[in-house]
Amino acid sequence: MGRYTLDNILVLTVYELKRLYRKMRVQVVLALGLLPTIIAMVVISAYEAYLGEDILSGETAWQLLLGLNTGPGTMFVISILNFSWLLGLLIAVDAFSGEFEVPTFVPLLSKPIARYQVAVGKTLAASCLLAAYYALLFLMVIAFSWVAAGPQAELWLVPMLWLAALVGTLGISMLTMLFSLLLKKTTLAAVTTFAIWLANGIVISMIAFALILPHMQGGPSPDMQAKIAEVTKQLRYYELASPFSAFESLLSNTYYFFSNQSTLGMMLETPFDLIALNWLSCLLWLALFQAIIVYKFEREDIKV
Amino acid sequence: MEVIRIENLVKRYGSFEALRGISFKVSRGELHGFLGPNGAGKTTTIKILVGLLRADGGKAYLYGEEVSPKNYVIREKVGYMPELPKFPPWLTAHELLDMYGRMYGMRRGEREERIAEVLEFVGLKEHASRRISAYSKGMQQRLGMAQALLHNPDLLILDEPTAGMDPEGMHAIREMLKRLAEVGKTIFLSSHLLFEVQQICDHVTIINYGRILFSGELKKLIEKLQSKLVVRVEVKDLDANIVRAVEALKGVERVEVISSNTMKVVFEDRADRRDEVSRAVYESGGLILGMKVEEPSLEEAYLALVRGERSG
Repeated sequence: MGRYTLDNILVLTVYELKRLYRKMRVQVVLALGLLPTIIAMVVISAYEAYLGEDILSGETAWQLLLGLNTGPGTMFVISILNFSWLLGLLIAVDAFSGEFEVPTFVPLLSKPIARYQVAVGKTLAASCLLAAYYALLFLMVIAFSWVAAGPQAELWLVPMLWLAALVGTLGISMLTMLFSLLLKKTTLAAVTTFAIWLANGIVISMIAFALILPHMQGGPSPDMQAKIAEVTKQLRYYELASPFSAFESLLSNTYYFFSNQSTLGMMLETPFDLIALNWLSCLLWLALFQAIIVYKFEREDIKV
Repeated sequence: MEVIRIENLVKRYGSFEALRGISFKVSRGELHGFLGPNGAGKTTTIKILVGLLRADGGKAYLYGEEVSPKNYVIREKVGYMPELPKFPPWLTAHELLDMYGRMYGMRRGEREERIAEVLEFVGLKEHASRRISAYSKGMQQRLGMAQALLHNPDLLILDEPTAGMDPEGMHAIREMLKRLAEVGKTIFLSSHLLFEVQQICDHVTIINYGRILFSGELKKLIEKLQSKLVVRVEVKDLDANIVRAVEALKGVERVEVISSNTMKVVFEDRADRRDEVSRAVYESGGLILGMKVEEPSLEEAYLALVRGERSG
């Protein structure tokens, strides 16, 4: 730890947060993230008033509203949790490329600061913004559910779900940040991240199809459903090898592991080894992305 | 004491060799001009010094410590102004300087005091709370100077500080440099403006095609390139007889009549023969009003070196 290390990281985190705020990223993330939920809450309230009956009810209504547990009433919910990758991308897409494009790295990196401090500052700023956003989202949803559906239960889940949402989205942010550094063009970094997200979805679907197809030949059989369930279970392990899938499934897997609620009418059994593997893979991916960013940035020639 | 030392520095961009093993040094208190045509390697050298680029060979030292992007602590001793600096447009000048001040480990009170001082020095005090996005190019240059001076460093590395400025802005920057020189700062200044460098600097390094052509005292460069004595003579009632008499003197290469009463006498070597010129003019019926040995300008010396390199 060099002189001023912590102070430098703090200064650079504040600098990055200011950049995100002044470039309207904070506002856009909050608007994109919170507005659909606010609209859903308004619609639910209006619909309940119109029908004169409760749509949102029960002690775990907040889980329903967040889209964690799908069931009656969630038809109104456009949960932003499904689009967390988009928020991750928005926050990080110009973290490095924006500074290469202006170019503001020349005066900044000639100051007595280490380049890893800049990279860590950018990661911390993205973490702070996401932490604040998810805290706001959870608080808002719980408060509304409390008012609309009475006292809420299972609130002990909230800190873990908040952390899972934060880590999951931060992973996408860091992957985007890596492309922002490697490609040095904001548009290119955004397109690449989106393309990889899309390709990841297609590849996972193809693997799923390839695994399920053999069991579907020969028509329906008594044990077909059991076999498909078995393959689905295997797939939940396999997909952890992909950072996108690991980050995207972290929140739902954490929820399924801890909660007793069913989803789509069935329990998605999540054994301890799966959730442990999911958390471990996410943390390893995060560490790997940060290490690659620092390694690459420290060897970067700042030409312009 | 050596403030900057460069030893066999090499930098390549792909197959292009921007620096081909350059070496020079800058001592404390020097006002050192760094000259060369576009693409000669000036900015590359400076960027290696301030840790923005990595050298492919050789070494660069600041205050005896080897520089590299990783050795960030040494940069506390340097004030660097990049060529055509760009600062985060979403910040105000005050916010920017406050952030940089913290990176130099300055306390809040000290920061506030210095920010006010440097903004006053560069004439931006009234614009401290404006976003940098609203600054003109000249104002950004001034801010570039302010951030270089913020922590009151002994060494200033200025890369083309007047590039892209209007005459008024250039004058302002030149005046600032003179004031900094007066307070004993070591200034390493890259510039295209030879007249400006000649006015301010006592030492120069000339670089071309990634090679050092000269590094040392400015007066030694001029002496080195002055192989012929040139004397400007002012004569009352200058006429053809006087010119012919001077032309006939031994060792005179040529005489150029500049105006109705001034001629320039170019000798074949540097031997001082002003007494012979004086006698020849007097004996031809002329009256000398003034006589001055002409020193070549830095521009002439620079062009002689750079053109010599091209033809050689």
